[in-house]
Amino acid sequence: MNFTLFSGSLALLADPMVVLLLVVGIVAGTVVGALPGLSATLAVALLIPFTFDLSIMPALAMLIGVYCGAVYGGSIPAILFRTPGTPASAATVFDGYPLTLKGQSQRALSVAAMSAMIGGVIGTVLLILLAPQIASFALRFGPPEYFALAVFGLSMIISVSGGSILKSGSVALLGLLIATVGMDPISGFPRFLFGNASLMEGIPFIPVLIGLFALAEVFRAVSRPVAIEQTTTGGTAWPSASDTKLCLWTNVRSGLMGTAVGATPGAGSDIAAFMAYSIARQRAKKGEHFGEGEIKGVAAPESAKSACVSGAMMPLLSLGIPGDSVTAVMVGAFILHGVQPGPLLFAQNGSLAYAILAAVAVSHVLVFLAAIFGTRYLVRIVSCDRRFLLASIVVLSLLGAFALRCNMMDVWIAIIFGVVGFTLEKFSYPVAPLLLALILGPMAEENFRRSLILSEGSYAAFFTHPLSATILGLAVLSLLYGAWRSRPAAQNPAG
Amino acid sequence: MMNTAHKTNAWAARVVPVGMLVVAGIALVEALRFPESAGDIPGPALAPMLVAGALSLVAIGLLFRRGEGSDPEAPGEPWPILGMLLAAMCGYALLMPLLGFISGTAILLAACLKIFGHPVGARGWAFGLGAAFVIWVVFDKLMRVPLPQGWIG
Repeated sequence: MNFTLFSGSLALLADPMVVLLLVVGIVAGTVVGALPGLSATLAVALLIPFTFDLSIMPALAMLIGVYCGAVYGGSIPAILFRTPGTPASAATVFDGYPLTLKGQSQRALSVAAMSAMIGGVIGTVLLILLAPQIASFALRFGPPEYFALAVFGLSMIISVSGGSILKSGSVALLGLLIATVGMDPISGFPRFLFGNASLMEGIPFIPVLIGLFALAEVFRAVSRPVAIEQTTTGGTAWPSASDTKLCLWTNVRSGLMGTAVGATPGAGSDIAAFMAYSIARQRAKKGEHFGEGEIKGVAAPESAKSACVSGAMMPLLSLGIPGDSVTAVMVGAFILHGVQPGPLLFAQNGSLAYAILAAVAVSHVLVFLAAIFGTRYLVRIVSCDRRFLLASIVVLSLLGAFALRCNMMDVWIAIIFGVVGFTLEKFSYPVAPLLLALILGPMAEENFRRSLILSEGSYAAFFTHPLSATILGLAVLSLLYGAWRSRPAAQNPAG
Repeated sequence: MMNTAHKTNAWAARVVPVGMLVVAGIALVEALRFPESAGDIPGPALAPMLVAGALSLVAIGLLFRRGEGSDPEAPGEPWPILGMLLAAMCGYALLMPLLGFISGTAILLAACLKIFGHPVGARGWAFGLGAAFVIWVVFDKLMRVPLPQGWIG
């Protein structure tokens, strides 16, 4: 990174508005993450409309803060009330809550905050080192490679979404079909408008994601109310030197693993947290009793899920492919502000790219400080009357959908996709492939057809280019892995 | 009893593949009307037809898959509450442009509280009006997003 880039990104990050919104985002994200049933994806989706009037860096700083805050925030009720705030925090319950029962909630919260920071910083260092290299390599890509990359991203999310590969695949195909609504990217022919000119630019992305993640979440919350079992009002203190030393290697190992999982498109922080926990458990030494209040059982998932945040930013910033559902939602914010994430981001807008990376690093440190000083107050919010909160989410969701184009059509789209999201999840269909397909669909179609035009209609173009052939091969392998993993014997090992 | 519940669940689980099949069918029929490919240049129907064809096949696969259905042990959905919530949202989308943002939003917030089981008294209405006003200030005044004025405001 040269001096001009460094000073440019520093100037972007040092803007008081950016710092303020980063802090606001962290506080808002931690609160939402700590409220059981409300996810990081919902927090980011709800806050996107508030960034309409902001320039790109303050907007992204706020969303990055929300993301980091929400991922950590989910662990507070997991440790204190045995109720994970987000799915990624479920692994923290195993040893976090037993520590609370032993009267060591403060210790568990301190180690969770410290581990989240260490994992996050490890992930961000790797992100800073690797993302520009990957982006620079991706500059060599032509249409066949971009098509292959989009297919790879989709195949990964289909294979790791959990449950049946047929279900994940069907949802991804539905998303791809929805992505074809609007003007054809090559010929300009209007498709599937059904007389509605406001669909000319396609199904608007933000109302869809608000419906799928915010409104569907409200339906779910109504459908399955969460009971909070409060045992303490705990707070957080600085982690002790002995705990820091005891958990250091666990944190480093889990941080590296979390980054790798996060960088894999489709694999989210919940997978990273459970993987890290199970490895820490497998490597337990004599006298370490996982599941009964072992402090390393808190450190491992916390470090991994926090590192996963940075990992998920890697494919987003370097290739334009979101690493998980939260970064998929963040694509909406990039597009809204006229910036296309991907290889050209580093080449054309290097200062912004590095400022984003720095904002991720700063967020992890600020989340730690917020956890140390703010947990006591947060516990009171978690115990608030959720009915007021859910009512507010309904209004903010509908308004967020409307505010994009001041068009009531978008409110209807959000409501329809809210029902779609709820129905899909009720029957165990993952929703994330639909969102990723909506993002990658136009990229896949445009590059698929461009490749065919360049090769004069020959489909061999995808297999004669070594890179695209390799990426497509990886996509096939990941689908085969997904099919093997979702076979009935693997789903029900007991028979 | 359990068998009946399981059968009902199995039928309910077909809602999604049937919906997908309908969407794919409509897309296929509509895509047939798109312009044809010109020589080596693939036309606008290529991608929708490929995707809709694949979706139809996968949806048929899901439709005839054995053991489909949600967990028969799982508690039933509170359909009346979900229906009322959906109706409140649709009512808001229809009436808010006519009534105006603040009044429409205050009514929606109060309705949601009622649906969620909160006794909507003075506190509920105060929350509705207060929150609607704060949101109006943030969006309309600070972020310059023009919100509907309507008859009441």
